[in-house]
Order: sequence, then C-alpha cells, then structure tokens
Amino acid sequence: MAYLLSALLVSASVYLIFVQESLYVVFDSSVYLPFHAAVEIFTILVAVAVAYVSLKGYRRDGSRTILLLGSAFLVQAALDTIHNMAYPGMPLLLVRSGTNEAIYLWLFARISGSFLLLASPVLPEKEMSPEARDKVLLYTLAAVALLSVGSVYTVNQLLDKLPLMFIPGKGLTMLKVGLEFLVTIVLGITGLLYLKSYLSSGNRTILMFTIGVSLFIFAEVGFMLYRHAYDIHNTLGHIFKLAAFIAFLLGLILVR
Amino acid sequence: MTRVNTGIVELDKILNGGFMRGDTAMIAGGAGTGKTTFALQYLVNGIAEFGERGLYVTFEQLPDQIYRDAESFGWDLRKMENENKLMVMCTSPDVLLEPAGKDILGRFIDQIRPSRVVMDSLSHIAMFVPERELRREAYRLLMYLKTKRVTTIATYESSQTGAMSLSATETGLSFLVDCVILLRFVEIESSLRKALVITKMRGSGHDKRLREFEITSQGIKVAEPFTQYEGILTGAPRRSMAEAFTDAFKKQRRS
Repeated sequence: MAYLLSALLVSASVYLIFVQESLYVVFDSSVYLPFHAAVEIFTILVAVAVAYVSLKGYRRDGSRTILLLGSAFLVQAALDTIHNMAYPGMPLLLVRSGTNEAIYLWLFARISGSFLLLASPVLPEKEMSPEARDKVLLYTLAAVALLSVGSVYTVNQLLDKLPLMFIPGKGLTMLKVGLEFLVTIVLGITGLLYLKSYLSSGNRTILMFTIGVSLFIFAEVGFMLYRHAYDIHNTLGHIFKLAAFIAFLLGLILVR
Repeated sequence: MTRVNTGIVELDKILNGGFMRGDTAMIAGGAGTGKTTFALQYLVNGIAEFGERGLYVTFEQLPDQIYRDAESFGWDLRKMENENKLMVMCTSPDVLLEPAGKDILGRFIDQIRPSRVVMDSLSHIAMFVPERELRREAYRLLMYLKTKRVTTIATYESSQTGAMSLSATETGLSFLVDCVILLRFVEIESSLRKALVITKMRGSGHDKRLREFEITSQGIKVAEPFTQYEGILTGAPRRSMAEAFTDAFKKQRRS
C-alpha cells in the first residue's frame, strides 16, 4: 500500500512542477523520436509478455477473466506498434505518419485496451470447456489482427474524413481530450477494482497492476495537456507510461 | 508391434497403448513409492483383463507377505495360482545367478508359460555381485527373459536423495531395458505426493509429462500431469508463472 501511495504522491508532485509554463519545452525530433521509440518498444515487449503469460494461463484453465486481461495487453501491443510507426517524424512504413495519424492509433489502442482491461474484473467469470478454449483463442487473435489491419486502413485511407484530434499551433481538440478523459475514467474504475482486490488478497501482482493502472492515469493526464507531439507534457505522458509498464512487468516477475 | 496393456488406463494412454510385447521395462523409485504395487497390478490386470498368465519373481518378500499385501487391493493371488494363471517364485538372487539358475527360472516359465513376468527387484542382485559385475549379471538375466518372449517388468530401488535427476539408476542398468518408468516422492506445499514419469521408451513415442499418481484401495491410479508446477524433479517445485498469474487474477474475481 505504501508503494501505491508513494507512486501517486511522486506522480502528482511531478505534474505540479512541470505544469508551470516556465518549464514548458519542445524537444528536437532527434532527441524525442529515439526516446519515444525506446519507450514504445519497451512497453510493447512488456505487453506481449503479459499477454503471453495470460493467454498461456487461459489455455490451461479456460478463465474468461484471464482471456480478457491477455487480450487487453495484446491489443495494446499490436496497436502501439503501429502507433510507433505512425509517430510524426517517422519514415513511411506500412502506415502514414503524422500527429493525427499517431493520435488515432493511440486512441484505438487505449480505448480497446482499457475497456478490455475493465471487462476482465467486471464481467462474470466463465470457464471455457477444454474443447472451446483454442477456438475462442483463435477468434481473439483474429479479432486483434483484424483490428490492427482496420486501424491501418482507417489511418491510411479514411483519416481525411474523420474529425481532427490535433490542430497544429493550437493543440488538442476537445474530442481528443474527451476521449482521453473517457479512458482515464475507465482506468480509474479498473484501478479501484484492483485496489479492492489487493486489500482483500494482499497479492503483490495485483498491487503492481494497481500501481501500473494508476501510473497510466497520470500518463493520460499528460496526453490531455500537450500542445506539440515533442513537448514536455507528451514526454511526461510517455515517462508515466514507461513507469506503468515497469509496474506491470514487476507484477509478472513477482507473481510467484 | 503389439502392445501389452498394463490395465492401468491412464498409464496405457501415456505409454501409447502399453509396453511393446517382449520388451523389458524398469520401474525405478525410492522405498515406498509403489514399485511392487505397480508390478503386481500389471500381473493381476494381465490375468483378469487380458487372459495373460504371469510369473512373479521376488527377492525381497515371502509369499505370505505378498498374498496379504495383494489382498488389501482385492487381488486374490492364491486363487490365481490355484487356477494356474499365476506363479509366485520367492527366491534369492544368488540362486538365479548360479549357472543352474537359468534352468530353475526356465522350469518355472515352461510350467506356467507366462506372457508377463515381474522381477522384484534388480537392486537385490547388487547384494550378491560386485558393482562392476552387476550390469553384466542383470544383462544375462534380462536377456534370458527376452529369449523366452515374455514382457518383463523389473523393479529397481533408486535413490531419492539429493538433487533428483532423471537417471533411474546409478549403475547404468537403465541402458539394459527398453522402457524406464521413474517413480518419485515430491514435496508440494508441505505435503508428500507421488510423481511418475516415463524417461525412456525404445521404439515408441510416449507422454513425457510428469504425472501424479496415487495408491488407492483398487491399486495405482495415474492422474493428470503436474501442469501447475515446474521444477518438480529438482526437489524445489514452484507453480508455473502462468498458473500463479491466473490464480492471482481469479482470486481477484472472487474477492
């Protein structure tokens, strides 16, 4: 519990310091792009690890809770990979790059990931029969692949018809802020459910996931505030995302 | 190649249908792991379910003890002997190791014409021959049984101490047999449980997973693999990461 409170206090203090206009800075692309890519690659690898362990556990006992948890991380790993490729300044590879392109992919990842993460503790437990498990897993993997392909298609072909999320020189639109706020609410409920579970079970993995979800909420705050894709708020958002995934990784390591 | 069912359903499944006919299998394990029960059940099931006669050669127990122990599982060995379906041969290894030993064994085999033979146990031969000759003597005995076209189970008392390896014997006897089934005590969450694994099966595929087994009032019952644990043979088993992770979140659901 002390870990959770410390994480929340440090995170809030960091924001109180860096929200000051005097500290606002926009980094050069030569600095920001490698930083962004490194953070994304690390978090993608952690998400893949959590998804792998979850889906392996699901294959053994058919728990829907674990299937949803694994799917939440798998979908984030897949869409964050594409988001990384679409980040403004990245060379053309599979997907168009630009701020709105990256934001759309980010939101696809966050909305699908957060709702699946919430569904995991909220939906009633259901144990799949051994015969149905692999079939359901196959459908899940197909759905993630379809979502990834659909996201790439949307960004490459339909973006001009979709509302803007970012206006250069002005910053984020209300729609983008509103959607990030929705993700924050969903993560907040998930975090509270994890906290309730931790308080009754004392399980360290659940504690680490509670901390991870809490840190992700702080990351979302950064993604509601930034005015430039390389600015200090976006940087803070990614640092908190990195911290959140370190917590998820610790949850995995401490599981025994 | 036809198979010889042990009659222990799950064991036959993991053996891909049973032992290969005419092969020699070794059941190795520490004291009390259930080697003799396994071997007796193999003979009893052979008689009751498959109409195959059996010969039980024991170096360690007197017949009365064997009849009594078998009765606790509901196996009436005396009746089987009276019906000429089973023969219990209680002897000393040195008798069989003598030049005339094979003749004695041969007479028993000719008398009952068994399809299944149990030799309980090879470890006792070690008491009568120097260690360097043990392998040769065991080879002579087991090859003799092979020439008689019987499917043999030989038990062997292996060490349970220290870092447990997959090696069934310290003397290289496992090279002489076609199939090795290793029985182990394992400590899981402060309770002693029994594990079984097939470490060798010449000329056939088999399930390589470690399985739990129990000695029930009806004999051996082989259960599911120990999928929830890793490192069982190291003596320090731990739950697999996927299992522990799943448990953590499933507990969360119940809270």
